[in-house]
Amino acid sequence: MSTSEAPRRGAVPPPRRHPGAGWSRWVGPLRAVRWYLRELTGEAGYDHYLARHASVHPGERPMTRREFEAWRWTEQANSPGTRCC
Amino acid sequence: MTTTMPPDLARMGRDPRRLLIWGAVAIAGALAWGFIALVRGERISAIWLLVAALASYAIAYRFYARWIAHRVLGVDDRRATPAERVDDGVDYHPTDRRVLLGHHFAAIAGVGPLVGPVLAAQMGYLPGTLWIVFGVILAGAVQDMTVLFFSMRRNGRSLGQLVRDEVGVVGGIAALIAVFAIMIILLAVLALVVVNALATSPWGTFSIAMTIPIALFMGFYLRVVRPGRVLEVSVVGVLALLVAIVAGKWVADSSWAGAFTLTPRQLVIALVVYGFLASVLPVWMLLAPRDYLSTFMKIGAIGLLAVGVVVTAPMLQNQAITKFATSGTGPVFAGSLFPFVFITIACGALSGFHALIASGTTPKMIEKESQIRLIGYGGMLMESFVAVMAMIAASLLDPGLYYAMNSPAGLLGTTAQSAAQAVANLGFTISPDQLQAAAAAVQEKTLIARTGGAPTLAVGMSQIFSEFAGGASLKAFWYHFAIMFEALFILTTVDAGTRVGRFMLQDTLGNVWKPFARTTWKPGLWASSAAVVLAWGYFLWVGVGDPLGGINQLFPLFGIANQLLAAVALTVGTVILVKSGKLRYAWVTGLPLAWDAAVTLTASYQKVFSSDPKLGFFAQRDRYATALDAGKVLPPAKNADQMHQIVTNSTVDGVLAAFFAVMVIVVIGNALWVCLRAVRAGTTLASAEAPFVESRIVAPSGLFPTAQERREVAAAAAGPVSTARSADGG
Repeated sequence: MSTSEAPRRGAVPPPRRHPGAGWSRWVGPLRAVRWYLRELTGEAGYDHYLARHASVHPGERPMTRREFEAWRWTEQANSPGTRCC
Repeated sequence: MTTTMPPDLARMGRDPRRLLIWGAVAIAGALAWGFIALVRGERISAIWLLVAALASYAIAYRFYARWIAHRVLGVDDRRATPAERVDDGVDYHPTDRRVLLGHHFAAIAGVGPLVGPVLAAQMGYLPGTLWIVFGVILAGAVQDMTVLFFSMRRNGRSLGQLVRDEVGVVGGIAALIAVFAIMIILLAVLALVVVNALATSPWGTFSIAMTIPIALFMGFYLRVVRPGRVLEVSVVGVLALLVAIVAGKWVADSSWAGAFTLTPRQLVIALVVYGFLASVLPVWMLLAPRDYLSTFMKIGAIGLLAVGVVVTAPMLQNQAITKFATSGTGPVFAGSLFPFVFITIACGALSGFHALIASGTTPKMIEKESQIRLIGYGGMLMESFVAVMAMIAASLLDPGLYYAMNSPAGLLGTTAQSAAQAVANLGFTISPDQLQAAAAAVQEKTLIARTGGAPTLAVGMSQIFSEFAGGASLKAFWYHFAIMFEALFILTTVDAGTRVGRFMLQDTLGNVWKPFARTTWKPGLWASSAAVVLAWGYFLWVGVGDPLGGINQLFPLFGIANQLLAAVALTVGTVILVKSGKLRYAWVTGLPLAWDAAVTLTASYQKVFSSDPKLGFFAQRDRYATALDAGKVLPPAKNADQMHQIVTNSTVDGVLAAFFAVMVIVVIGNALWVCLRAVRAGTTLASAEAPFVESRIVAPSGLFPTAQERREVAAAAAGPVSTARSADGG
């Protein structure tokens, strides 16, 4: 659990940039889509883990991506999620 | 508990612009409903259904859902959610509301809201659409949101635990048994839909079979090559899937076609073996990668369908209300409008299974309490919208084709001539040539008696899609695209459901004999997996061979089971409201409960006690048993063997229908007793709610942040000791 007293933001997508001209106007929306899909599929899970690990156990070595994903598969195997009709 | 008026509700009266907008939405909705209700004997455009549904959803979400969240439930954003309090980085972690909405929707939406309305189209598009829209507003979305809320306030306890904690031990045990039995029927009926969609279709069977190697490849990639890189491998997987759909045509046209042309019985064996393997293999091999594929296909296909319906604005060929609504003699399913239209629609309007998800993973990931409206209520509105689209897709088919596809084989016979004759006897027309042309257009051998809803929906979708992309030449591709995505949904549910059932069984047996509870003990794992697949495999096997038509017999059981589970969920909600001193608001879940109980118990009663052999299981049993004793063979049975089958099946089905009803009566009875005690006591009764902890997360409540929320979020982000979680590395 976080120890800070200040209000904090929840998980948020990258900040919006001002739309430029030409191709660069698509950069913002595309980043937003990428952010959404990474979050939805759990690909961003490792990033969250690293951030969390750094704040909860500062100085300790975090799991590598490979270790983390293997651990996550085991977790998933032991708590099956229902899919509905 | 103090609840203040939500700021926007107070502002509403003062802001003429808002009044104007909502007034316009209300008028649009009322006009559309009025038009739908008044038009008789003319074809109407699907646009009217869409406008009526969307306007109704908007008003319900804006006003009713908000009122329930703030007044009845009393969401409190000063209170930390379990995600914030526990935040263990495993199950509990605060998740962006839009991401969680995606997760939740992917978990609740399956093939149920797609096939239920297709079958209910037998009664005409009007009764079904009315129930889908008003049922979700007053019952389905309310159930999802309240269960989500009460589970969230109790650290994400499961539905079974909620019943045990809040209702009682007797109710809890009954609910647990009911959930398991209902799960088995659910899996059997869904698998039956797949079997009916793939039988004697080499194209469909090949495409679906290819999902296994594709999933294995994705699993290997994620496990060994580049762990965790889901997006890149999903792109490859989805592309491979599209190639598999195209390649299905080549296979169907080649000498390999025979290898992929399976009879229903062969498909059952394949599914049972597959279900067993998927349940015992590590999740990364098959289950998880298929889930990614299924999620992407789900979002893609539903999005495409929405765009297609809006762009093509098809005219509905179905009648508003058919004669089967009152006569109860429809060929798709027996029984009249009340209660069977509600039983058949099931998931699209009210789904008990959602309570298992709203009390499972989702409540452990919510950032702020007020977000339950977006995720619980909003997610269910989205599912209801999917159901409306399915109703549209089924209703734009020519009714002759609809009945030729959805009546049982026993009625239709096997040739185009016999099917056309049977359809004519029902009062609709389709010529044998038209029937063959319809099958040829989607490159299937036959469309006769392709029951279960999936093929019908696929034909409807292929009509919509081919109209705005590819024309007639792509019709067969779109048909198989639709079949593929429906089958993928279902198989994902079968995988996950078998696994969940296995864990339930292991857990229960573990109480009797310890080793079973250890999920790593291989013999226990194999035995319980086998027990679960054989249980649903039995009903599936029986269903495909049923002379009376498996869907015709089993789909009502599935609907009854689902709606009874909803009754359990609404009971829990009502009990908690009464126990916490909110008797005057108890009608919010109490009225939907009363309606649902009336519908479901009437349906169960008719299925058990009706003297009409088409409707009542035991009347059916008697009719065939008596004939059998007299040495006679009654159609559609062709021999004594099939007579025996009918007698056994109707006995099992009748016992199950009675059993479900008894379990739920036990839960409701137990609940009534607890409510009575609470009312007599005159004070609030102990409830298992977790204590208040102040929240420090700042996040918007709805899908789009208000100006006020933007300022608060910005202020929190700029704060001195911000522990803001970077949601994206890049």
